[in-house]
Amino acid sequence: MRYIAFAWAEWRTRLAYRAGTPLAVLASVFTVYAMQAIWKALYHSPEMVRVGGVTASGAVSYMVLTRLFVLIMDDTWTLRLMMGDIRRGDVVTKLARPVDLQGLLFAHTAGRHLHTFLFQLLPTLAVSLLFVRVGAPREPLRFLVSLTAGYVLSFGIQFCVGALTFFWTQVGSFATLIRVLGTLASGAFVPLWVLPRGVATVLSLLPFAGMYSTPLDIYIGQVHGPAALWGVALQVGWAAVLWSGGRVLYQLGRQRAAYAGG
Amino acid sequence: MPALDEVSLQIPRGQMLAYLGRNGAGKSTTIKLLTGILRPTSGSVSVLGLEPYRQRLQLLRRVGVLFGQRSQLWWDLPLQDSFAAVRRIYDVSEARYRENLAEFTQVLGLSELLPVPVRQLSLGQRMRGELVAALLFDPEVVFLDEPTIGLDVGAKEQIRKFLQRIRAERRLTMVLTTHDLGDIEALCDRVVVLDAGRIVYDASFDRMMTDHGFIRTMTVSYEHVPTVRAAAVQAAGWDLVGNEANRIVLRYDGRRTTVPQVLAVVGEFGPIADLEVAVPRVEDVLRALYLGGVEPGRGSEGGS
Amino acid sequence: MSGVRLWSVFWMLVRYNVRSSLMYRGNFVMQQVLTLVAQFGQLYLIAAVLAQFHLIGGWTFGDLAFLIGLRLLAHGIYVFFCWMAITFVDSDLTSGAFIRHQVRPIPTLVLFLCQATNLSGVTIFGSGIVMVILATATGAVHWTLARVGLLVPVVAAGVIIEMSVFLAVACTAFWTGNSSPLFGVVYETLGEQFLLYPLNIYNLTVQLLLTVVPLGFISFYPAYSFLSLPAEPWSHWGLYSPLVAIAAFTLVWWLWRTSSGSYQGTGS
Repeated sequence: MRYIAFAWAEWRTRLAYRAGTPLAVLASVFTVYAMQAIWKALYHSPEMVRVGGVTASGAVSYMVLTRLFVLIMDDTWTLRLMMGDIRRGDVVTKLARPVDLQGLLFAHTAGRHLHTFLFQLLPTLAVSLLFVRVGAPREPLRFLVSLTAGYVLSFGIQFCVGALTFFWTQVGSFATLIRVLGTLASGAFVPLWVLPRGVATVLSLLPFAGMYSTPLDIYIGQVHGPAALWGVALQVGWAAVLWSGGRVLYQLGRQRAAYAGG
Repeated sequence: MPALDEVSLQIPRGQMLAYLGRNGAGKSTTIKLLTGILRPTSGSVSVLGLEPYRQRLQLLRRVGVLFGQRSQLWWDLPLQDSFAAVRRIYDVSEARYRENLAEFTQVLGLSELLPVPVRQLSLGQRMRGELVAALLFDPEVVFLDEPTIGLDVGAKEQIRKFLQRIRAERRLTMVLTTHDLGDIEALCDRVVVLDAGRIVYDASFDRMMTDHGFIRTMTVSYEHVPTVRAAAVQAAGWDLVGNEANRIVLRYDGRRTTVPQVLAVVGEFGPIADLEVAVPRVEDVLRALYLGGVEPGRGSEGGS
Repeated sequence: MSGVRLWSVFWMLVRYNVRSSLMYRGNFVMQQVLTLVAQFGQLYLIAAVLAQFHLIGGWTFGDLAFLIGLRLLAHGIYVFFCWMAITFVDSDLTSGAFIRHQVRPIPTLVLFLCQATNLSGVTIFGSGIVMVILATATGAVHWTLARVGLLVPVVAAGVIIEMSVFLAVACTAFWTGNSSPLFGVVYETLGEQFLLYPLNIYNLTVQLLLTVVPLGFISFYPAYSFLSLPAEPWSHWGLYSPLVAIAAFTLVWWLWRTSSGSYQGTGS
């Protein structure tokens, strides 16, 4: 029980209270409240009717939704499981064939997220609607497609990074970097349409944007029509790359471990 | 439900007490009361003339505590750093510290281990280090919680010898909680057994063995397969617990029956090749005590 | 034990902890780089937002940089000394290892807090300095001798307040064995997210909450004594932060004594 052995990066698991408990919902509601207060305050002047092309209510909707998305997109259960298992040479990762493991973990994690969705996300949304208005999605169908793609994409990232554990004992730091990017570069902390054009474009090409920025921009109608299709295509492309990349890495990794006498 | 219920105990200076009981009996609670961690809900506690709960910090300068299952040393740093820290925390004089350290490390063979980080020490080595740390500041009372747990026989022996020596030299009062009977046998003057928060036995070690160590086990080996007359054994009130090939094993009450008496009977079964009479092991005695074969309060003695 | 001796034992323990921490240098550099990326990445994004919106609650980006920087100065020191013990209090208690703090002639709280240092605190403190310099560069702060002198007590008070609040939450572990949920709410939500921005953008209830649970006194109220902000009823409250710190600490000391005193521990 040596504290120092906990990586600075893993301390977040300490804060991982069980989703769905009243305090967890309270914490989420607090963050939603903070977001809407911050963004309402930003749109303080009448001139700021549209910044980056988005109205105050659009921005608030966007930010409130990021706080809800975070409950699921920010969960690193898959990654942690893989990192832990692979380091220990555990049974779970030994038994399943790569195809099976990826599908298996995805199913598992989806189950957890369903629980989070029902018992944390929905209650948070319900309470939040008491004090903030969240508009309806501009193009619901496209939004749902994008959301699904983003969800699949986020799993792809986690599995990929998890598979890197085979090759790299210091993968924890890399995993933290990915998480930091996942927060800052994805449009979760600040929407991409606020940033300078060049920066926003670069970030939108990265996989992280596919988790928050793309689906949410579609939701508030900031992005529609062909641009939306392009966004979704990018998401799907990244998802494909990451899922197959993850598979390959995992295969290679297992061979490597077996060869080394794991 | 109270953790301790009407426990009344007096421990004179210089005594080595074995404080026994199943898990959940109330042993840790007692130790916590004696070190001032817990306050008694009724009654009073006094250690070295001080009230532990009120005068905890003062008391703890003179009381050493060793936990067999939890290290109190600084894990990543050399062993000698832990000792140096203990010296600073208890404000031991430089001279006294050097004396004690020299003696302890020499007796326990730790000299070469002083610069080794604690996390690289084996369990036995670490335990010796913990002992030194617990005694370095010349405590007058020492609580030892499972000091030999997990150690191999050689390591246990080393620690027991050390404790015996220190005790003799310094007239320490020690309270030992343990599940290891060898510890009790080697070290303790007095045995107190706690069960469900009450003292169910309190007597000197010798008395305990005398009182409850009366069962004798005799193993008789014959030259060839004997003709065992079980009825005769039974009639005499003894137990035939083993009867295999050339050997029989008997149990009888050593207070009422002498060896010649037993021989008179078993000698009839055939020509005896070998004979062995075993005195009960500590665990048999304790098992009897733990299983409540004793009435509360019976055999109570301040013991010495 | 005299105060002087306790002080010297305290520093000995801290030195030991630092030496222990240094043994796990493994990913140390990488971790610090990540901390910096996270801190300054966040700051960059805030700057980008304010480049578009100019003000939040009447505060400019420079004001915000100072607010965040001031908080990081206190937070860095807190993280260095107290983060390990407080963040992992649950396992310390449920494993029963807590008892090792209770059998020395030194107050349990001191031993508890001095279990380990977190060297990331240095990086965080450093980030705070950079942000304060940044804020100065934008003209948000005009330094006078008085203000420079004020910085030390304000930061010291901030450390004590932060420690007191989180320690109070940690105390709940004595009763429930699990301080995680409350810790998450207070630490991550209130302690991190809300404090990035001036409290006057939130409604009265929240402001009150962050004043009574004195997190607001770590950086928000004191900031008024450094920045050139429009006068508010609370403009001078920051000057009382040392008093608030003392009050908070006294309260938590009492809470700690009560909690650890009735904590039965594991085993019987």
